[in-house]
Amino acid sequence: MTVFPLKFRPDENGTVLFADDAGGYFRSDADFLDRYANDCLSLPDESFLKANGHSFDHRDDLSYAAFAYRWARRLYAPTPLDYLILVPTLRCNLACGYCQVSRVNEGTPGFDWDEETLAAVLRYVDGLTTTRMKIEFQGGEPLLQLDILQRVRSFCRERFQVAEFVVCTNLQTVSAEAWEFLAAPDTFISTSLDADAQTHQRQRTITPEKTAHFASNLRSAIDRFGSDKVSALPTLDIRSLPSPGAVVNSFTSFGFRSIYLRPVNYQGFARKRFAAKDTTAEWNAYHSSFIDFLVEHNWTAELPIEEYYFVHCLRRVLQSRHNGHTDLRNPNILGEGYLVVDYDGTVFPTDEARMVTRIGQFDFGMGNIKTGIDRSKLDPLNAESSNNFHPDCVHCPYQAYCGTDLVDDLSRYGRIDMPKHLTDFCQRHMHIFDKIFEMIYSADVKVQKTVAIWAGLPEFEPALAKVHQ
Amino acid sequence: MSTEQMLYIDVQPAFLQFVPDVISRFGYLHPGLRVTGQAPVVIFLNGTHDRAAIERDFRFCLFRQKIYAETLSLRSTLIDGVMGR
Amino acid sequence: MIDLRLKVDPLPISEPLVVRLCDTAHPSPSENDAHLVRRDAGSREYDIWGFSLTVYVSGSEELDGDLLLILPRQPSAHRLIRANSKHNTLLITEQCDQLCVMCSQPPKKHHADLFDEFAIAAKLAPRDAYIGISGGEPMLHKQRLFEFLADVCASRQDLRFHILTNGQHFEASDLGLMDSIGLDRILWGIPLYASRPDIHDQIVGKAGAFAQLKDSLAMLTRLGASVELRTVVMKQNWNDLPQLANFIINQTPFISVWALMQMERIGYGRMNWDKSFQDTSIDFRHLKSAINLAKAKGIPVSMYNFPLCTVPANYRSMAPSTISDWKRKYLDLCQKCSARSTCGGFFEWYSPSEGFVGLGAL
Repeated sequence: MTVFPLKFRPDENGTVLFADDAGGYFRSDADFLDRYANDCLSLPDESFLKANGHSFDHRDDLSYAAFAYRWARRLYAPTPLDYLILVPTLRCNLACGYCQVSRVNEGTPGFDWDEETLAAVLRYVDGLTTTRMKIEFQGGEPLLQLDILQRVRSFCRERFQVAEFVVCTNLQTVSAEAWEFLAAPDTFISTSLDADAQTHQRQRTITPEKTAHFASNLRSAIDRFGSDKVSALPTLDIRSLPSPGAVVNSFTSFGFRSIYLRPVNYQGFARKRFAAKDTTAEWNAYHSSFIDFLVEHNWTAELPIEEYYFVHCLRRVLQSRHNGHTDLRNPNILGEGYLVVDYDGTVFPTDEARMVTRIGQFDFGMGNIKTGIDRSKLDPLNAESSNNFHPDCVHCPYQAYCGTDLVDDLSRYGRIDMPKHLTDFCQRHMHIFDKIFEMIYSADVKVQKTVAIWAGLPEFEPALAKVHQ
Repeated sequence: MSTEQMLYIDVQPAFLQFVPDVISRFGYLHPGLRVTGQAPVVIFLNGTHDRAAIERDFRFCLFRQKIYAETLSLRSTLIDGVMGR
Repeated sequence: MIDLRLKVDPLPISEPLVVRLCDTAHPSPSENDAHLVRRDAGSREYDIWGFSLTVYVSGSEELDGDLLLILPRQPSAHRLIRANSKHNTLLITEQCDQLCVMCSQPPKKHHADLFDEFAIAAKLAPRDAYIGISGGEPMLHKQRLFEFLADVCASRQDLRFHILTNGQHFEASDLGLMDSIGLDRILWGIPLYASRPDIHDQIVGKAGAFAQLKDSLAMLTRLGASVELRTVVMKQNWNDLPQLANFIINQTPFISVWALMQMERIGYGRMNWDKSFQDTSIDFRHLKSAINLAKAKGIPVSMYNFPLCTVPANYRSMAPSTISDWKRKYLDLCQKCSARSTCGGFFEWYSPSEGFVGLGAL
């Protein structure tokens, strides 16, 4: 029999996690690693590997075909473009501390789509082959351009069989007309809720009046539309992290059950203030304690809570084809499945790319929606966008579940060939996957309950924690 | 140089052919350490390093390089098959 | 129980005849249309090519659009396709090369080729019909079957088929044709009873079946065929169920669905009931493990033919109603059950005294 290549990672207790390129995993020990590396597998070793999809006998047998299938399914293949992020204005009625680079004041002229840009966007959309479309309105504050939102939405509703719209709004000032716009069943709200009222005020709304107004609008949105139509994301400042309890209380008070923890994305000069490595370790520790808090919470709570990104990674461990998060894909092909159109018509491959370009670090512009999209700039990036044969990733047991984010690497380090283990992306994900496996293999019933809930199961199944003695 | 600062690693015959690649890889992961030799490999520890951890890391590099080299044709065949080549 | 045969006055025919019963003129008329002339309490008269066809049926029965197969000198017609039903199956053959311990359709030696008639019926089926193909073992007549499928699928782009097969007869030379018919037009329902050849082969009564099935599944994986893997849960394979789940997630990850099925008490199933029936209403353990492992790994799982009260509450959403309408019944205790409208009930031939212990209205 031939064994499919295994990657390994020991933990501090002497157990070793093994995984293959298709994402199949098991735990064993250093002795097994020795036998495997030295080509001295015992009969029980061979029997275990065969029974668990880690080997094949002949190239045309079922084991080989099944492995090839599972391996191929781990790869992301972009669909014809069916998702657009539109930035019709950079004007905003708030001045959040961490948003210095992607906003201008509400009254500033020259930072909105003109008629020509709108027409070019609609022409572009009209030429697409997809029958389904998702449009995400960003900014600035998109509701300041309600007219453009309405026109884009009307067009897409006519043009596509299925169309979905997300408005990323600060919910600070919502006119009656805007409420009506947001009420439609195909339109969803995404807003920021930075932990608790105190943190939200410090980072975003500044005054108690504005904070209260925001809270009232948010509550209004949920009461009118239900919490399925509204999602809220917290942005957390590493220098001043709120307690997990404060975040959970705040979110559950609005009926939210999914919390996506995102650290503030410091750009350029702000990043130099904090050594990237220290920040990552600190963030990882906080994130870990947050997960632990949720495990306790979910043990007794009537309605369990999830940390969105952790659950996304857990699902990627257990299953293939979980490619819903644009920053965690392998290969992470840019400029195909979705695009960003800026206030002046400039086209970018991702929102982060738009921001990195704005601060003058790199130019990710792919041309202008009015004059033509040029993808050639992305070719060198796309050529490096898979982790399968990266000299660091090829040895990593998490490779099949992980991905690449070259825009993030460029924005932080100015290059895409940093040793992976020195990048924030790798350190964050190693930490997340370490914790995921720690939880999968935990004998603690509280942990098992949360793992089951987050994996979408009625109950935890011990067979998920495969061990080879 | 004190011998306490030198870590000798015996390399099994089956791994000898991979040592040059492993030294490159190990050097990439531990840029501060000088590594030389073949059988044995000699690592010059400078300052406070966990000997056991360094030795273990080097052995893991040996394992990984051997596994990589020996399974590369299988991975290529797999890709070719999936891509329909 | 719905009768799939209707008494008819024999027609003066020497060849089998397929007839589409039409209360009113069909929007796409065919030369097989029989038009309703008279309707009485217990019979209906149709006109076909100037001949009179009398069908005996109760007044409430809906026949409009039904496809009937009338054989020479036979006093009854087969209802091949009932226009109002989701459960239409064409019985290709009663021959089979396996001898499954729970078989509901024990094999017979004789085979009558009715593919031409089935083709006519399928082409006249209602729009978007999903037609079952069953046996015996349909692929014992593989060439005729593929001719039928290629012909009908080309002629009617809206039809889809669910074909039950033991998976022993796929060959590499079939794959091109299967691809051209369309991989999403056919769902292959293939039984797999265990993770090990000894258990599987014993259940299907054929040595080497498991090995052959693995080869077929490898071919189907590479082709990208749509497969529903079917496992009847019995005493013989109960303890292997978790290992079978492990086998499926690793070796057959390409399947569209894994159907875990309860036994049907007819044919060999009835003969072997006592030694085979596994009462999952009192012990759900291995099913639970199997379901959760498969689900965690992204394999869609479904429980077929499980009454809802025999399934723990948080697994009931995975137990849809699957028993064909014509052989389905409910028990007295079901009258007060709050889940009656979603529950699939019992097989017509279910015997309470030898069945589930853990029954009860929800």
